[in-house]
Amino acid sequence: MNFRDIELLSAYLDGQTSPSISTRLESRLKTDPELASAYQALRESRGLLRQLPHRRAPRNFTLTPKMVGLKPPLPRAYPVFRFATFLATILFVISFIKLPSITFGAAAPAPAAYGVGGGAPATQPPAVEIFPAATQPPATEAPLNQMAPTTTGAPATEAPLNAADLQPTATSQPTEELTRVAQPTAAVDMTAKAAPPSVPETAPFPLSNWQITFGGIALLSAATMFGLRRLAANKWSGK
Amino acid sequence: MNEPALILDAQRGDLNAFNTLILHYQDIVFNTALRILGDEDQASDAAQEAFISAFRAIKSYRGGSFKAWLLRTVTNACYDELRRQKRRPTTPLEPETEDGDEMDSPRWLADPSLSPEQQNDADELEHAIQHCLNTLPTEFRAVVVMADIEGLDYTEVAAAVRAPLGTIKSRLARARLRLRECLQEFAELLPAAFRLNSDEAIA
Repeated sequence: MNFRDIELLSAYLDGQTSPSISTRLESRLKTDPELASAYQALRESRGLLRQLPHRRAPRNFTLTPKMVGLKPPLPRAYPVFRFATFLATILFVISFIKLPSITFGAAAPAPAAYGVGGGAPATQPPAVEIFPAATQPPATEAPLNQMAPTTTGAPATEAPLNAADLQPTATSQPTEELTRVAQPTAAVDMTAKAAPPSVPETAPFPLSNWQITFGGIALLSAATMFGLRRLAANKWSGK
Repeated sequence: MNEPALILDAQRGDLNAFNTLILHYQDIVFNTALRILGDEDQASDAAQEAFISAFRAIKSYRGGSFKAWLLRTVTNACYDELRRQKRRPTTPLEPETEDGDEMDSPRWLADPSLSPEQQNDADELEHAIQHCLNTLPTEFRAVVVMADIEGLDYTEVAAAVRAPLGTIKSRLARARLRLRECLQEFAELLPAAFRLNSDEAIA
């Protein structure tokens, strides 16, 4: 008897052998005590396993949406609003990138009129006129910041001169002011401070109609997306 | 229960349909895990993991025995658990003798609902068989549990463990022989059970 016989006996026990093999095995079992003993052993093993109590599940294994990471199905209109939000946001951002050239083009005459637009006007008499004005109350910070970036071309040689001249009229902390003045833009900073308050102010970076439109569309679409998502989640959890 | 319709609905993402299938199969899935792992808590965890995996993978089900497909999932979950145990071995629940050997049927595991004698017989039989099942190689254990305990036919077992029919026959024969040898050691513990089957004559 070899292992092949054991395999056949095991399959025969389960009725998984062909009729011809079954007939042959049955005749051998009657004549071969060793084979009959092996068959008996296999049968006992199977019988014992079948006696094992069948345990019931200790609890229900049903799944919740959270367990399987299911999300509520999104409404059909959702992708439309998502695309609209994306597009409007992109256009809104692009419109801001283009804005400086437009705005500064419109605002260009103002610095020129103040004499801070370039190096040449700064050395002209208007620069002298500034000094009397410096005795007046200092200008607010808003025009300062607005004009600072436009004055990168200002000559650095003027910085110490103007700073020193203006020292007595500096507001509260003259030493700090001087240390800041060490930067190239400081000269213009001072001239800007000395600017007369009567200059008409323009709104910084005014929003164009297109920007308002794109921004509005982006906000509205995002709000609609949020609402649709919440609605779908509520509907889904309630079912 | 209209199983094909429920499977189709579950494949479309209907969790309620899949939960109906779970309720139908959870006992067999749990019992299979219990016999492979030999521990109720681990079996419970493996069954839950198996159902979660099954729901996520149900779109890959391409017909055939759904029970075998589910049992393949639970068998894989059990293999994962056994691998994890190998990496991080835990202290066995069974108390040890003075020599450091595990006691197979500790009295403190007894179920008080039966009489002490019945309890003793039932527990010893179950513990002895489970002990012998645990000594089998994992792939043999899965085959013998599905074929002899859960009553699956050879083709279902082959589908569940993804092995050829010949391999299933071979594993089953070897597993039964090994179990017989192992159970011989408990002959004095399980005389009634053994005699009951030994008296059956070969047809």
